[in-house]
Amino acid sequence: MKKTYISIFVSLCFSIIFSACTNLDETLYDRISATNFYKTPEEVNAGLTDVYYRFNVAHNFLNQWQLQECSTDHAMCPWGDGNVFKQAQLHTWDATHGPMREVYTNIFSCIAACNSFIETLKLAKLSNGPAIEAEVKTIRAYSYMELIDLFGNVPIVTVAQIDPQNLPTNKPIVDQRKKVFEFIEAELKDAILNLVSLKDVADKQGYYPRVAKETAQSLLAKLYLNAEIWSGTARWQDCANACDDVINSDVYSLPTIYGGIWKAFAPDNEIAANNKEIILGLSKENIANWDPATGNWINTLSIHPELKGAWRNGKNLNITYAGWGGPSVLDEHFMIYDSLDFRRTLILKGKFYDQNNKLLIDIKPYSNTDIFAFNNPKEGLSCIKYQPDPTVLTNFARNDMILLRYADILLSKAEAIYRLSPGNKSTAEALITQVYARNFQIPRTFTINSLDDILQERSREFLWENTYRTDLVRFGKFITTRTKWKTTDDPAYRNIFPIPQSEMQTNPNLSQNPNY
Amino acid sequence: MNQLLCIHGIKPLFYTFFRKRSLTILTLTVLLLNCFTSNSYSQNTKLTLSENNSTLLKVVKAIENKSEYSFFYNEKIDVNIPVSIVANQKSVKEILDKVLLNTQIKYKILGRQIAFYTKDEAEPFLNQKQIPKITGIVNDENGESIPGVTVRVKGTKSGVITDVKGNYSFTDISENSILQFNFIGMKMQEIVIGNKTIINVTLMQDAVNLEEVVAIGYGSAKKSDITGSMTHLTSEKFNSGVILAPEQLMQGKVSGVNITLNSGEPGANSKIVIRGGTSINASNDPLYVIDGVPVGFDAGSFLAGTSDRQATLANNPLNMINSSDIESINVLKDASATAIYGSRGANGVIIVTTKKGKDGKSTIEYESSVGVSSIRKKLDVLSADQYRTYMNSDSIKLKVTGWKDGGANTDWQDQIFRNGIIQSHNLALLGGSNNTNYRASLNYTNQQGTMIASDLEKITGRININHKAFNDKLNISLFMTSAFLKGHSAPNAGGVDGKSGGTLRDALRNDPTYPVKDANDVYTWHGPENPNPVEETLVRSDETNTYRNMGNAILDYKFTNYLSFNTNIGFTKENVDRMTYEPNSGRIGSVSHGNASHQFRNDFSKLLETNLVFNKKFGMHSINALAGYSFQEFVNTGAYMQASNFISDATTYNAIGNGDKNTYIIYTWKNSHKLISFYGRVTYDLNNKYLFTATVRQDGSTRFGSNNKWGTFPSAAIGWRISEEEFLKPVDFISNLKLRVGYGVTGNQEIGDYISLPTLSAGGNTYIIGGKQYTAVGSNQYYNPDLKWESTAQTNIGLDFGFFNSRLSGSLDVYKKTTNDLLLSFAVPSPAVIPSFTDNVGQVENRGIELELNGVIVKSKKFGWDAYANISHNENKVLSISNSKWKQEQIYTGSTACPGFSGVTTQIIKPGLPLGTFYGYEYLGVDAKGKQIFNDLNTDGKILPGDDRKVIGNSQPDFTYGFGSKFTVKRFSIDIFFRGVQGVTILNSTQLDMADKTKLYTPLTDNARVNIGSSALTDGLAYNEMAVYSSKWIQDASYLRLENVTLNYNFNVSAVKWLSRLNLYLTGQNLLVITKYDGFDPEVSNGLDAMNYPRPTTIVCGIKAQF
Repeated sequence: MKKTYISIFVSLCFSIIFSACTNLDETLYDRISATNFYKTPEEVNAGLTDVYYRFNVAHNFLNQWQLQECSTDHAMCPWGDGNVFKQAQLHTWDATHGPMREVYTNIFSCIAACNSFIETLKLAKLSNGPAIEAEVKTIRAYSYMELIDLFGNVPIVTVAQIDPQNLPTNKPIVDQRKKVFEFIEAELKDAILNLVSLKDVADKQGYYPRVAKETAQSLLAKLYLNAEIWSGTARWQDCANACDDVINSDVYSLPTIYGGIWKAFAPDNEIAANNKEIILGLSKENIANWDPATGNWINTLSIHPELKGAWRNGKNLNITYAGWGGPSVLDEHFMIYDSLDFRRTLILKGKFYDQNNKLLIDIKPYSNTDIFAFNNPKEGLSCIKYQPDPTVLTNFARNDMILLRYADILLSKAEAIYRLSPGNKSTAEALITQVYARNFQIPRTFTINSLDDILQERSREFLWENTYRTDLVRFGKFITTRTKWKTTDDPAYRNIFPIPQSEMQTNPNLSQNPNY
Repeated sequence: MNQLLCIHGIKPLFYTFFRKRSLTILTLTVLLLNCFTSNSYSQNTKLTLSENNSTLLKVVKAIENKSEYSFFYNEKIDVNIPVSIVANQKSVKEILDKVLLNTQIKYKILGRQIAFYTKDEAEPFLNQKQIPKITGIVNDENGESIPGVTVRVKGTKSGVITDVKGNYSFTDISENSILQFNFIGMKMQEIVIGNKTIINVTLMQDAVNLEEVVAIGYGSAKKSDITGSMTHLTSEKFNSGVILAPEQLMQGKVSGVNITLNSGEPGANSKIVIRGGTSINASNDPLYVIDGVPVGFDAGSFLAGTSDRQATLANNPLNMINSSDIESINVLKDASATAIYGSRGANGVIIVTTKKGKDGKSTIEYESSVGVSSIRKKLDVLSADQYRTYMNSDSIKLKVTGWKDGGANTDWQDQIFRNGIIQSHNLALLGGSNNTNYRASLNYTNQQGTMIASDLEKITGRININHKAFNDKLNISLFMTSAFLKGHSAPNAGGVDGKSGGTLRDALRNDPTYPVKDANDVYTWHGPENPNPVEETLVRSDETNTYRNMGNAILDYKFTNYLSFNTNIGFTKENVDRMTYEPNSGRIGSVSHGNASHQFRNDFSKLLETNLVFNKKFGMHSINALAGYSFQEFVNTGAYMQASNFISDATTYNAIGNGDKNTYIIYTWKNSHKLISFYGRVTYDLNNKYLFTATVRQDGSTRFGSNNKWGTFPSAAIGWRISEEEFLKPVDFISNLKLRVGYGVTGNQEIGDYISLPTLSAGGNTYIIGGKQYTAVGSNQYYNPDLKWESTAQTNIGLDFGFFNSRLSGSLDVYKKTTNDLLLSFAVPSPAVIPSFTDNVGQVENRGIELELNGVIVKSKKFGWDAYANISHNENKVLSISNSKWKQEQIYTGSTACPGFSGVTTQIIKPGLPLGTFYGYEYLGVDAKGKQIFNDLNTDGKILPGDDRKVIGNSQPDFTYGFGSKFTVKRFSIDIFFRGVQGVTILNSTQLDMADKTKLYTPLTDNARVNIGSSALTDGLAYNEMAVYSSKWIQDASYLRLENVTLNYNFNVSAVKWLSRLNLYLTGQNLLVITKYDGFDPEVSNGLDAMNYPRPTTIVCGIKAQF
C-alpha cells in the first residue's frame, strides 16, 4: 500500500506542475494592439491615411453616381442588378435600395474613422496636432455635407465607439437637418482657423490631395449655396463671401485654353500643372487587381467594348481596353449642348472607326421605351469625361476622381449674386463666362436670360460629377424633371432619400424620413 | 444434457439464482481437467471455519469464499440441511467428511472442483474417455471462417486460438469436456465433446451486446453503464462503397445527426449538425476526437482562388483517415455525454476509434475496388432545337436583334460531365504477441470527379502499436497517421461562399446552338462573362496538395488494480498548398495576361493530457472516478501570393515572381489560441441497477475577454436499469430496459482568435498622397473584455430497450437544449468604425425526439434478415437576439448567390422562428401581362420589402430518417439502405438564375449568349419581367434516397490453405432519389442550391481478402 501512496503523491506532483500552465494571455502575431499606437509621426500618418482611405471608399463611383446622376436626365445604366438603376431613374426607390445603403454606411464609416482618429490623436499631443485634427474634421464635415444632401435627417456623432445604451438619434426629425447644417458650418469655420493654407505649402505636389484651408473655404461656399434647402434659410451673401475667400486666395485657376476642362480629368491630373482647378480629388491608380476604390473605372464601365482602338477626326481616342458598355448619357442631355461645345465631344454618339477607317460601332441613343429591354449593344451614349488612359491594365485608370473643382466656385458665386440681385447680372455673366468660354474654339461669352440658364450650364459643366441632383433640388426641379422613362412628377418627399432599412433595423433610435 | 451450467467461482449474490438451475452431477465432470494439473491443492489448502447451527449452503459458501474451490450439485441435493462445523486449519476433505457424516450426500474432489452426489447416483468424474485429437472450423453466420476465436476447455486456462482459416485443434481431451468458443461481438457458444472428433461451430452475432465497450470522453465504458445519449456505430454498420470523406460512413445511420454533403466533388466535406443548430455566428461543427486527440484543424477553414470563378476550397480534416481503418464511431449527443469536453461540447462530439492489432498470428488484409461514378440527372435547359425555335419565334425576334444561330446541337452538360473512374487499394497488416500487438495499413484511392478536371488522389498510412510492460502494469499505445491528398478542382464556385459562376453555370447557360469548337478547332466564345465552360475549365489549373499528420502516445500505468494514471501526448499538423494559374494563352487569363496564385496554410496543434483514474467495487457499490488536466495549443500560419501580367505561360504558378511587380498581392498571417482545462467525472453504480454520472470541466481559453477567461461546465445524469429489477425478471420478453435522465451545460468557443481585443490593422489598405503610397492603419476590432462562452443547457430523457432476447432493441430519446449568450456578431449602428461587434447576445432553443431501432427478424443458418431504422425530429426556435445592452428585432441574412441580386436577403432570424427561415414575397402567379403577382400583405397597392414580406419556408427539416435491411442467404448477402428528410424547403437559386429570358441574348456584355431553364418558357413571366426573389423559388426538398445497396458473396475458401477469407462485392451508392424537387439534388447545405457540384451515383465492384 505504501507504494500506492507514493504513486498518488507523484501523480499529484505532476498535476501541480501542469497546472502551472494556466497563462491565458493572447499573443498577437499579425495584428497591432490598439492600446499602443499613433506615437510617431509615421504612425500618425498611417492613421491619417486610414481616414483618406475610407473617404475614398465612400466614393465608389457606381454608388454615389447612381443616386446623384441616374436619378436625373444625365445618366442611365441598363444593368439589371436587382433593379436598382431602374428604381433610381423612375424615382421608385425604397429603403432597401442596395447602393443607397452602401453610400450611407460608407460615408458614416469615414466619419467613424475620423472620430476614432481624432480621439487617439488627442492622446498623442503632437505639435502639428491641431492642423491634422482640423484636416480630419474637414473630411468629416464634407462627409456630413453629403449625408445632409442625400438623406437630410442624419444623427450627429463625434465619438469613436457607439454606446449601445445611448444610440445615435436623428429625432425629432423636424429640425435635425438644420442641426446638422449648423454643425457643419461650425466645424468648417473652426477648421479654417487651424488648417494649413496651400499658400504656405512649399511642396504642393507632395501635399496633394490632402485638404487645406482653401478646401474648407470652398466647402463652406457649397454649404451656403444649398443653405435654403438644408437649413431652411437662404445664405446667398454668405455663399458669395465664401466664394470670394477662395477666389482671393489665388491658389486655384482655370486652364482657359480650348478644351481646358479636360486637363482636370487627364490620366495624370495629380500632377500640379494639371490640377490647378482641382479643389478636392481622390487619388487613383491603374492597378491590375480588382479594387474599385484604388482605381478609376468610370470610363471602363461606360464605354462600349467595340470602341477599343477607336479614332475620331484623325485622333486616337486612346481606348486600349474593352469597356463594359454600362453607364450612359441620356440623349435628352446630349441635346442641350451647342454643337461646337467641346464638352459635347466627351459624349460618344454616332459612328466610330479604327485607324484604318473600318467601322467599329455606330452608337445610338436608347431606343426602347420599355425600360431595361436593352437588347442592342450599340445603344447608350458612352462618356469619356475622364480622358481615356492608355495605361489601363484591366479595368482601372489613373485619372484622379474629382469631387470639387474651381469652376464650381465660380458658378456658385455667379448663382448667389444673381439670386441676390437678378437685375445686376453682368458680374454673374462674367464669372460664368470664365468657365464657359474655354469650351469653344472661338471663345464665347455667356448670357443669363433666366435663373434656369445657370442650372443648364451647371448641368453641362458638371455632367457625372455627382452634384446635378443637388442642383436640381436647389432649383426645385428634381421631382419634375422628365426623361424618356420618367414621365410623371413625384411628391416632394423624394427630394431626399430614405434612411436605409438596414440602418433603421440596427438602430431603433432613428426615425425614418417623412413618407418613406 | 444441454442444460449445462457451470458455477465456477460462485458468488453469494447469485447463489440462490443459480442453485435453482443446478445441474446434474454427471455433467459437471467436465471440469476434471484441473485434476491433472492441481491435485496437490486439496492436500495443501487448510481452512478455518466456524459455522454453528448453520446450513450446508452456508458452509459451501464459506469454503468458496476462503478458497478457490467451487461446488457443483443438482436439485436432488438439499443444501439447506442443518449442519455445524468448527474447523481450525483443516483440509477441505476433513471438513466435508465431518459435515456430511450423517447425510445421504457424498462428494468427490477433483482439482478445485467439488461435486456433491447422492448415494444412488453414479460417482462423478468417472467414465471418462480420452479423445486423442479433436479439430474443427469456426464460421460466422455467413459461413465465413473466423480467425482469432478463443477456444477454451471450460473451467481451465487451457485454450487455443483459431488460425486464419478458423481452424483449431486439441489433443488428449476428455469426452466430457466442454469447449467454449469466444469472439468479440459474437455470442459465446459451448459444446460438449462427447464422442465427436470434429466439431465445426457457427458463431452467431450478438444482436445487442450489452457488454459492448464504447469509447467515451477520456476513457471507455460498458454500454450498459452509460447514462448519456450516444450512438455507437461499429465498422460493419458503416455505409459502404467508395468513401473519401469518412463522415459519409455514418450519414443517415445516426438519429439526431443531420449530415449534408456540401458538394459532389471528390473528398468534399459535409455540414454536420447534431440535434439542430445552436449558433448563429459561431461554428455548429461537432468536436472530432480521433484516438483521444481533439483534432486541431478547422473544418470550416478555406483557401481562396485567384478569381471568383474558382471555388473556395473547404477543408475536411476527417479526410486524413482512411475509412477502412476506422473501428467505430461514437456520436455523443447530450450534455451528460459531452460535458467532459466542456467549452467544445455544445455541438456534440464525434469520437473516432481506429482499428488496433490483435493477439495471434499475423494477418494480412487486402481490399481492392474499382468503380465508376456519374451524375444522376441533368438539368432541363433548352435544347439546341428548342433554343432555335424560341429565338426565331415572332415575339422574340423583335426583341432580340443580332442573334445568330451557331448551327450546332450541343448539350453543354454532356461536355462538362463525365463518368469518373474510381479505384482504391487497401493493405493492412496486423498481429501481435503476448506483450505487443500492432496494426499497420496503407491506402491508395484515386477518384475522378464527374466534372471534368476535378479529381482527388489520396494516400494514407497508419500505424497503431500497443505494448504492455512491467507485468502488464504499463500500457503504451502509439498512434501515427499520415495522409497526402492531391486534388484538382474545376472552377465551379457555385453555392459556396456566396460565389456563383464557373463550369456548371456556364455550361447551363451556354448557347446550345454553338459547337464546343469551331471549324478551326478553336473554342467558341461569347465573352468573359459567358465563357466556353469546356475551355475555361480545361485551361485553368488548380491544384491543392494537403499533407496531414497526427500522432499520439498514451501511457497508462496501473498503480494498483483500482488506480491508474495516464498521459496522452499528441500533435496534429496540416499543410495545405493551393496553386492556381490562368494562362495568357486562354481567353480567361488573357484579360489579366496570365494570373497565378499560391496559397499555403500550416496548422499545428499540440496536446498534453494527464488523467488519474480510480475504479473499484465495494460490494454492491462500484465507483469509477476520473480527474484530469489538459493543455492544447493551436497555431495557424499561412501566406498568399498572387501576380499577373506574365510574359510567358511557361512557368505558371511555379515562379510567381515572373509576373508584373505592380500586380503582386502578398499577405501572410499567424494566429494562435490555447485551451487549458481541468475536468473530473464520477460514475457510481449501485447494485448494477442504479447508475449515476457527474462530470465537471473547467476550461480556460485565450479566446475570451479578460473578465471571462474561465468557464465551468457541469453535468449530471442517472440511469435506472429497470430490467434488473425483480418485478421485471419474470417478464420474459424484456431483455433490457434502461431509463436515462441527464442534464448538463456545455459551451462553444468557435469564434476565431482575438475577438475580444481592440486591434488595429494595416489590412493592406493604402492611399496615395503626393504620389507616394501610404499604408493605412486603422481600428479593425472593438474591445470587449466581457466576451465569454456560448453556453448550452441540455436536458435529455432516454430509454434503451431490448425485447425478445434483444432481437428487437433500440433507444428513444427526448431532449431540450437552450443555448444562451450566443456569440453574435451584429451590425453596429452608423457611424461605426468597424461595422460589426461580437458579443454574447441572444438565445436559441432546440427540442427533439429520436428513435433508433434494430431488429433481427429471421436468424437461421441458411437465411438471415436484419433490419434497422432511425428517425429524428428537431424543432429549432430563436428565443432572443437581444440582451440588456443590444436590442434588435430581427436579422436579415442569406443571399441568393445569383449575380444581379446584390443586397437581396433571403432569410430572417427572428425570435419565435427557427434558424434557416426563408423570408420574402409570397408568389401568387402572373397577371395577363406576364408580370409577377405577389401577395400585397398590407393591401396598400404596393409591393415593398418592408411591409409585404413573410415567412415562406424553412431549410431545417421536420424529420430525418434512415432505414435499412440486410438479407443473408447462404453465402450471399444483400444490404439495402434508404435515408431521407421530410418537411424541408430550399432555395432553388439555380433555377432563379436560369429564369431570366432577357438574358437569352445580352449584346451589352460582349454578345453573351445565354441559355435558360426549360421551365422559364412555361412559367408565364413576360419576356422582360425580371425574376424577383419570392416563394416561387422556395421549393419542397423532401426526399427519400436509396443511399446504398451492397451485394456480397463470401467464397468458400476452406480448400485454399493460404487464404482465410475472400469476398466479392458490388456496391451502388446514391442509386435513386424520390423527390418533388427538380434541381440536381434536393440535399444541399444551408438550404441553398446555387450551381452546386451535383452528387454522383457510384457503382463499385470490390474484392476483400484475408491471408
